[in-house]
Amino acid sequence: MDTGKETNARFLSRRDVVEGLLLGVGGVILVPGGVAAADATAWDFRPGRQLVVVDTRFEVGRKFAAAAAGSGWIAREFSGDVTPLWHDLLDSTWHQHAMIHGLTTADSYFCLQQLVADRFWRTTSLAPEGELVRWAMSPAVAVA
Amino acid sequence: MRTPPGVSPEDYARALTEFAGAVGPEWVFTSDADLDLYRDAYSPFMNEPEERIASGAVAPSSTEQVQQIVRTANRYRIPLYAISTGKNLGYGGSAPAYSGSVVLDLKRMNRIIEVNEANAFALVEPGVSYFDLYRYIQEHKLKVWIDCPDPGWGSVIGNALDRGGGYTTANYRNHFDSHCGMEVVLPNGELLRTGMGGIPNAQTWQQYKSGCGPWIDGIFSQSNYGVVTKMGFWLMPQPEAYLRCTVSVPRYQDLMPLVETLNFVENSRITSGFPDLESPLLRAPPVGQVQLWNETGPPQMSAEHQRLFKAAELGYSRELEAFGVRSAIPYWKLWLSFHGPAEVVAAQWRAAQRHFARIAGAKFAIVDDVKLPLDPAQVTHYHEPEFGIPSLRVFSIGARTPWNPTPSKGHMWFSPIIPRTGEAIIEANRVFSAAARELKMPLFATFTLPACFWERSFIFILATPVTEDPATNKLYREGFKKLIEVGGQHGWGEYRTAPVFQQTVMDVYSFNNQVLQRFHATLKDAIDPNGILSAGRYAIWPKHLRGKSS
Repeated sequence: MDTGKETNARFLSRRDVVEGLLLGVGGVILVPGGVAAADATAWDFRPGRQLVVVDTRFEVGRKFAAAAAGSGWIAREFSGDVTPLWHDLLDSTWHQHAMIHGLTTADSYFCLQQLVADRFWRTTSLAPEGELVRWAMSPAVAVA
Repeated sequence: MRTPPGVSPEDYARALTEFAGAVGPEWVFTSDADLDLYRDAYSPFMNEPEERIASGAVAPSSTEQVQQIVRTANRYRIPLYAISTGKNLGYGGSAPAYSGSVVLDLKRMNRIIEVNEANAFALVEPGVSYFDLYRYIQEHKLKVWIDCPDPGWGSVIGNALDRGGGYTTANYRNHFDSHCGMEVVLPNGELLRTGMGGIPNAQTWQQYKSGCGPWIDGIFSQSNYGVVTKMGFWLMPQPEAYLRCTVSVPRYQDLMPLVETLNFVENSRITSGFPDLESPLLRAPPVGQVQLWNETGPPQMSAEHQRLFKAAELGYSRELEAFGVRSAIPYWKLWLSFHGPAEVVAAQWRAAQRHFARIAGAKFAIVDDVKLPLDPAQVTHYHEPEFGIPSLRVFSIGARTPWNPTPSKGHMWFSPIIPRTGEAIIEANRVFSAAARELKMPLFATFTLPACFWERSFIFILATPVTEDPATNKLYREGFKKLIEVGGQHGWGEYRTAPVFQQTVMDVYSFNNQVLQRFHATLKDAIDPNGILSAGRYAIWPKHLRGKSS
């Protein structure tokens, strides 16, 4: 028998992470689309220990991952199904990050957005990028 | 800031202050951005004024906090809407049934209180997801399986309370049936434990379901009589082996003995894994392979097959049947699975074949003969939930692929229960396909097979698209309601539905002048006289809203 243990889910209060946010105020920031799909220099990799997840089935995803890693970001790759990404990585480490960025299909974005909502995170920016979407998610921030 | 209907801004402000005092101000949400998390991602009223929207949300982390919140809600008549993790996509998501309610979000209550390997049960809080429970079991190397639905991100308690189903063996697939014992915060804030939990320091709360006296657990599912804060579940001891086999039969009329024999072998426990019906000739996939078909494309049809398939009525023509026989394409294929010691499942499969052999031309095949546990590298070769492994791959069904170039924005599940007979499958297809055609609904366009989640009935689970076009959504909503009514006229009813359809569904359960709904209302008035809890859920309205809201 094994009793009394808690799950891995740890909830940050919204205040725990406000200072770490880059895009944390207000609702979803809809970034205009049209960034050249394969032009990694067009992405703004601000300094910091940011986590980025990319769908490597797509060339633009692979380039995004390489550019992010080159900027000191932590790039995590997956291939279509977000289950292992969530189960094996994000669900146990997401709370170490102030924000998660992604370049994924809209379907994967939807799944991840629903999953991080379980941890009271929400989307703070969302933009189409070719056949993918580029997004950022962070803990919900009070908007007075 | 929104204010719940019927509540003054002053009272709402006082209630929010008390909520914040109970849970901490950071766990009380009132901004639009925060409340967007509680919108139904698949709302049939997407971006229309009728979309069900919360006025606020409060997220307690303990049963005691739930009690405090409920008492405050009573004091100020605040309508609450309890959710666990709030997925429930296609059935309403986390949006309240009564627009303007304050969502009582239980996902911070995420403790796995006990997993007992020796007697195979768990006791969990509402925020524990299938992923959480699976991970816990894996990390602690416990030899038990969970039974999870597609997808596996939902709450174990929430899914059971909404009467969801899974894919392992019959006695675990029905998630409400496999629960054992509840803890419930009643609308007046009192704490209740059901079954053996009624005994202080109970030793068998998760081991004997009904306790003594009336067994009341059922009234807390698909209802609004209490907030379930703990629930026990029976788990499946990890089997040693898994055998997956098929029975293929050649003729249309073989469907009748195929189902009859399935019922016998399943109800006799010769087989107990998730049975799955397919029609290779009608290109109707088994439930367990829908996602694979969407990823890799359905099997190709020859030109002749395509022509005969299109000309068939209710899935039948003499020519199509002859083509199938000639081409060795089965009309029907039944997938059976067996879990247990290798020698036992082999014997069960032999016994099953003996029974199915009465159908002339039946052919048998073993598809998977697997020693358990699965090698992790192999897991994605299978439909993971059939091995008690939570997954999100089901979302590939709605994803954009070459075979699905214009996926919908969401869906609402049309899910009537029908008898477990071949005749009922054909009759339901006849009735629903005619109605859907007339209503311009994209359902039953081709012969449709039901799923076998429950042991003694079939269930159709059909996705009605949600689009970004309000006119199309309106057409589909109205058509959906008509289909519910058509089903009711034939004695079939939905097992679960989104709030927007709950009144229509419950109206179908109309025996003896709606005595069932009247009984629900009587209970509501007695248990929750102020009507603070989940107003409107499954058409159970508090007295002050009865007949005024829908």
